[in-house]
Amino acid sequence: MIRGTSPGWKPLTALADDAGGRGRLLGALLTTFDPPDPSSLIEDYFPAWFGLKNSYGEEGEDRLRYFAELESFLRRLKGEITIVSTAGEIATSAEAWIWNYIRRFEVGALAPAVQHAKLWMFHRAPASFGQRETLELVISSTNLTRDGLRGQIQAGWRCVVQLENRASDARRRSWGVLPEFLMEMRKSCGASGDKPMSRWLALLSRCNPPADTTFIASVPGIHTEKSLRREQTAWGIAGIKATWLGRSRPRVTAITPTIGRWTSKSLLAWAQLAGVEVGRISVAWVGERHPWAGRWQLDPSTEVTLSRSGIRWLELARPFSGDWNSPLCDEHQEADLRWSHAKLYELRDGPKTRLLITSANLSQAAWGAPQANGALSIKNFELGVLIKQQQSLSDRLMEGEFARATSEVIRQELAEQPIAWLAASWDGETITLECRPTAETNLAPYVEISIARRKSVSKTAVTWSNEPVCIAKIVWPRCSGVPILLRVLSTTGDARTTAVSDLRPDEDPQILCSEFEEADLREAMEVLREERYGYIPAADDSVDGIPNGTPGGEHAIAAGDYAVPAYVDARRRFSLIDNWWRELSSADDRSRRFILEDGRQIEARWRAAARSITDKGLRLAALVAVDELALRLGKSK
Amino acid sequence: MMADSGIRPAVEWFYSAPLEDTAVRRGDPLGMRALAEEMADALAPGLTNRTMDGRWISIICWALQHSYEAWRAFETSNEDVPDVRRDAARQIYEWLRPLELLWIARTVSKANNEARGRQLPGVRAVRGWLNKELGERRFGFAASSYERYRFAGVYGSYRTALRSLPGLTVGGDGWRLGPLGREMAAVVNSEVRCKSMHRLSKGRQATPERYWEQHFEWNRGESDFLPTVLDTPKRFARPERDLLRRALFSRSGSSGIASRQAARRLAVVEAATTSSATTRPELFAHIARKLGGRKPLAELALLSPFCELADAGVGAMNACWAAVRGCDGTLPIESSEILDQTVVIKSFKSLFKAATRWQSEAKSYRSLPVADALTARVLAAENNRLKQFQALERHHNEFGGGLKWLRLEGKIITPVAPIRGGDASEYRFRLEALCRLAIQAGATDRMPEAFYGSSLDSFDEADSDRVV
Repeated sequence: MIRGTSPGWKPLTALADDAGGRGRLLGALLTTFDPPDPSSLIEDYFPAWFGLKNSYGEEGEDRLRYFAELESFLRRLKGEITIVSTAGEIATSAEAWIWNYIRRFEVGALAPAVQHAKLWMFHRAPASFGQRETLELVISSTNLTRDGLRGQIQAGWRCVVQLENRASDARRRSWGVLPEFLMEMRKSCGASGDKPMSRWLALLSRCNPPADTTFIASVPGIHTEKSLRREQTAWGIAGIKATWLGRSRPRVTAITPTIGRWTSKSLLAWAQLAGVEVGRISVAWVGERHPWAGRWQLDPSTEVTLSRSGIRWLELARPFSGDWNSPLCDEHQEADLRWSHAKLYELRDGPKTRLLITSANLSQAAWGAPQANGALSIKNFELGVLIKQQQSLSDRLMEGEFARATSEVIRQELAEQPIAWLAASWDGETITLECRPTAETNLAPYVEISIARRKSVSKTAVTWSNEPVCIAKIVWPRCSGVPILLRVLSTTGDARTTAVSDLRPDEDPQILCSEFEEADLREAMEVLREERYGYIPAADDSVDGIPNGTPGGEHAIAAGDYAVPAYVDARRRFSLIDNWWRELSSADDRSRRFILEDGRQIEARWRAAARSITDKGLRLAALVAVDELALRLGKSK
Repeated sequence: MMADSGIRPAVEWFYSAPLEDTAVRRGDPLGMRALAEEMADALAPGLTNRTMDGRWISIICWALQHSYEAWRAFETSNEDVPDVRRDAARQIYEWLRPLELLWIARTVSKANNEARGRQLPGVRAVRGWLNKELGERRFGFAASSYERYRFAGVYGSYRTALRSLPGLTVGGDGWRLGPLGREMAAVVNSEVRCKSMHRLSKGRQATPERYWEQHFEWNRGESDFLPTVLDTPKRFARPERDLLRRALFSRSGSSGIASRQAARRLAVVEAATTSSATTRPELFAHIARKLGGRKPLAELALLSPFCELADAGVGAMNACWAAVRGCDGTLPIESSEILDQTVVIKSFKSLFKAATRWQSEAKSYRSLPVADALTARVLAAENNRLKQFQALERHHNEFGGGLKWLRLEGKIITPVAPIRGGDASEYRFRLEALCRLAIQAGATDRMPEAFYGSSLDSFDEADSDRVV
């Protein structure tokens, strides 16, 4: 499906609804400005991305089953999901256990940086036998927060491409600035980010982007004129300039909810570098009484500057003000209480109209501030994609005079927190801490560690190395518990908390979700494992307290039915074994490991359960099935 | 710049549509949900807080009967089905879901006051569908929400009851109607018209959605046989009343566990409705005493102090939240602006009192760490409100789930959640739901006074109508 011209209208949790069968998720890279909100991940995003069968529930058995299924998936994906954000506090909460399974990074390991790009990459297994792995990219304005999901309207671009088996440099180059953007982000995440980020670069070498697609990105730093001329490092506004054909006087229309601070001089320098005349720039904005007025940010002095410089203002219609027409699309309703967080730029170059869907607001922090020597100073990571567009955004905007909404915006210049950057990881024996404090900050000689399923916090002494990025090691054997969060303090009382990446290659026997008893969650996981292969114990087993993994006994047979319980149960067990074997036979290497482990777990469970079955026939049926499963497990070696 | 791989990839650009299930609540603000569930199990076993309208039990039995028969005709060629497996359950539900939603559409069309005050999960999407504003294919739902309706919808709300109440489904499988379930379905059958014989026809088979739209006359005639108004529960007419009573309270013909559960439900209702308590903790104390004879029944003994502590904790959180909201978005907010407000002072006093009670009454029973932790922190703060606030904030951060609350930095309080986010949800113990069912079943004639004026804020109807 190619939809280059008219936008879709989809909930963020259902982007792939019409994409047909999707393969199992193998990994994800997610970038966000604010640190991710674990509730939104647990309640909304994870079920959609993982394709969970159960749904988040408020109470009862449904809730238990949901969390059991979620943790099972997270265990399988341990270390395969990477989230990158700006440096920020990770809140302690009942949901913090999920961070054990996810690699969390913040940018700014080497120098101050703001991560403002919103890129999601999903690596999936083939949807069915004989098909290929896929890579899905979503570039949008969405932060992984509750407000980002529910309170705002986002714009995004999405593509799914098939992965070739072999990588090539030519394919990697075909992605334009994107690989270099990921490499810069990898550097900014510190040494521990190297491996997880490299995976995504490798995947880009195995596929090509869709035709007529150009990526426009910004990375923090001061970039020389020479580097901006290179296609792969044409950051910020230099990337826009590189797209003009040079045969006409281009036009730009911007719709972004935030406009940075501009002076006449900075605007002129910026427009020159962009290759567009100030008078040919249009900016869409809201009037004073528009419901988004409190959200969209433009300070009065910048409004005056832009107006005097000759920028053309276009108005977004106010809902319930007569003949309302959505500034976005037909599906957008007047009564929608969300506000637009979309960042869109329409680029007109002669007859050619293209649309840039991006994370970048109209600010110098995002696009860069031109320097006297031709260099460009950029503060943020930003990412956008330029696509062909036939319908004009301007058609949905109103011309004419209007009083623009402005507010005094308190802009904090990039003042770093005293503990500017922080990362922690644990390999089963040692916790390694990396921290970049600001020059005037001294780190306290102890840290606080929150441990999974324990209420108390462990205060532990540390010795920091004396380098710009301080390193400390803490001996932390497995018997001390699974460290989830780590809090670093300064001698003046400033503190930052970060998640501890669990680098152990093996699966931990402990179940981490602390809301339920471990035994209950484990039992629910076992039942779900059996259900996955089509074995369902009689429904009232759990009601009457019969342990699962045992047959349903008399309840499995309806009254008046002449079926022999032992045969019925044996058939159900053998049906599971057949289903399991079928999946194993068609599995790729990556899934095979998990399917085999499922078989081993089911065998152990059935063998244990068979011992407690008193009915001779049923016991025999169970044991025959166990032997068959064991035989096939042996064969699979 | 871009090379073409020869394989056409899927590409699109989009705006984000709103999520249907958009209630903003702090689901488990103090991390006490698991304990509350455990206590509710002792009070009203076999139900959930969402099992709140006996009419839906009748309707869902009727819907199960029709969907099961349609599934048998179209998916199994009328074969006998010894038990219902996962795949079969999924298929049956695909036939059931349109019936649930057509009943919601029927209620919206026929009831007064736009059907407000009733349990109608998904009503917002259905209203959009009725008004032809939202998609036709799935009654106005996006595909993912339609998928989730299995858990968030009517069947999801009543599945526990269908499995636990004896006689509603065969072997408690939740899918095949048992004798009592069939009798309940018959009551509904006499109120509406729906095709009951299903045959495969030539050509393309209609989807379950289109099939029921054609064969269930959901919009036909005038009727007040609809999901009921929750605030004013009324005794049902016979035979529905007797059937509901049998399902909930009859001990005859039930297995040991089912019989004990029915007896517990009835005893709790009888105790609750003879109480003159005006608050939930008083009511729970009364029930525990009544059921225990001379001294409170051990498994319910902590319910009253636990409820008082949980209510007071949530009350203090909500009082602070309301005070912050009252600041109209003016930041920064000095802590004294919030903590010196009369309502907030009162709420922290109640919390201190509840913690003191918990400390004194809980010591003779097993330790409940989450409640003990809150108590220890609140009592350690003594009468210093700033410290009490810190204690609550710390407890919420450490144990609570869902939407975050407020943050104290120095003397400044900052909202962490969106300012228009909802209040923290009270912990419920299924008793209100049980008493409402008991009235409909004729087992009692009044709601306990403690529930008068209680809010239905966290119920489905409110959820599905709220826009974010």
